[in-house]
Amino acid sequence: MVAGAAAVVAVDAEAAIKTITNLPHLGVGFGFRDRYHTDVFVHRSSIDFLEITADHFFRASQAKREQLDLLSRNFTLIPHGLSLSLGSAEGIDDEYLTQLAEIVDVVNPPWWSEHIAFTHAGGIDIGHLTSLPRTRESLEVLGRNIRLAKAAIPTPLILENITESIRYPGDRIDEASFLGDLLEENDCGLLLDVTNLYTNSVNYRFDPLPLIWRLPRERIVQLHFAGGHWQDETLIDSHSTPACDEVWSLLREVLAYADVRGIILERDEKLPPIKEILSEVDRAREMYLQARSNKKPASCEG
Amino acid sequence: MERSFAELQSEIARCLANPAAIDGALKTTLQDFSQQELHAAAETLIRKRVARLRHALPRTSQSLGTTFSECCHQAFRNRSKTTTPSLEDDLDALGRELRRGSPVSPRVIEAYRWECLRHDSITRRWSFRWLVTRYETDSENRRLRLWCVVKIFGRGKLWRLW
Repeated sequence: MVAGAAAVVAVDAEAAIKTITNLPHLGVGFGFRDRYHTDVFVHRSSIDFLEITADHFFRASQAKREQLDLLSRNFTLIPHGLSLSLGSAEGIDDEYLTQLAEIVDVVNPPWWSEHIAFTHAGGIDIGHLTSLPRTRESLEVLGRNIRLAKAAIPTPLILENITESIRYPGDRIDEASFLGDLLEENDCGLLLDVTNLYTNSVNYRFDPLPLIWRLPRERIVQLHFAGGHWQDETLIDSHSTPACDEVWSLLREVLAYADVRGIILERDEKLPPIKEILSEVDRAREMYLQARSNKKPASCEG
Repeated sequence: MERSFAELQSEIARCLANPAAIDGALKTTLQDFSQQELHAAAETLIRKRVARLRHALPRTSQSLGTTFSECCHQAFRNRSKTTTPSLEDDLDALGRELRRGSPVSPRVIEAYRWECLRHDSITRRWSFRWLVTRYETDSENRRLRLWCVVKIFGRGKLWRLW
């Protein structure tokens, strides 16, 4: 399915952990949006890699295919899926998976990503990522769907934590344990969305740091960060503003804790001029490089 | 029969995809929630409700106590599970049951209804449902149906239920 790139190793039970730990360090970039199609080439030296929304290239027109080809020849691209719905108890959509696999095959990334969530059930498309109860049953459902996804796409998979629109009263496993079990049982990396974690910590009133320090640090592969806004006393991860100070602080903590391979800035609304995007990218890169050069142990026990 | 995880997700999807329908039912099945815990919580709720009503109403309300819970049980035990009636429907049904011979006067029902509407109506509405559905417990099969109040966020969908 995927050509042998340097960072992709054969999937093998014994080599499984090596797959995650041997992933390359990509640096810092942002989520590609059409508005910045020209800008990314003008500012090529300021962008280490790009994340593409895989869904945007499904059933692509000729122009879209050419765009993908051009981007993949000039950047390392990480495909990010939106609607595979790995948490769906009724299973994942074969057609969606096939299209996702085609994108990964074309792009040949060191890893690809999706979400710890479900987006459809009972024939209904919810329209946004919905959280799962933290139970053994959820882990089994996720495991089942991840195995199917990995059978179709052998490239290493990393999973993103989401902003929780629902918290279930029946949660039986704490979040750090749930994530740890999920990643270990399925040999996946973690796409730690720092903004999502911060948003949840604000809305549900908990300290995110102890949670971070309990995550399996060797599996934290990539980070997302973004800005949000307040509405009706609720913090929304709208990806519509620059990141706030608290998100930058969490970013620094995670970088000190784990050997992160890449960081992506997300901006989906109120797209600013490219310079504003690159300003945040540059700041994140400075932190990323500083953390790598420090080579110090994490700020607390992991 | 225990609701499957897939059915639970379908219900959630149905509610989230249609904000107008969220007022009806957002249900979850708690796998390990013990009956004792649920009973204790429901009984506490009943006592609180009764205490508030006793304080607010004249002597005719003295018959409250287990009577109120018994009336609830009487009213909703055989309710059809295919419909999701509104709070008004619930209270009307309860009122009819009570007027058939319960010592609890219709004024109690009105008082409770007013209490719900006077305070955060949605919270009280769900509390009332929680009270009622306690009696849907199937003790033999340990089947629980718990109506929960949840907070829902989401981009462009800021419905608040409490």
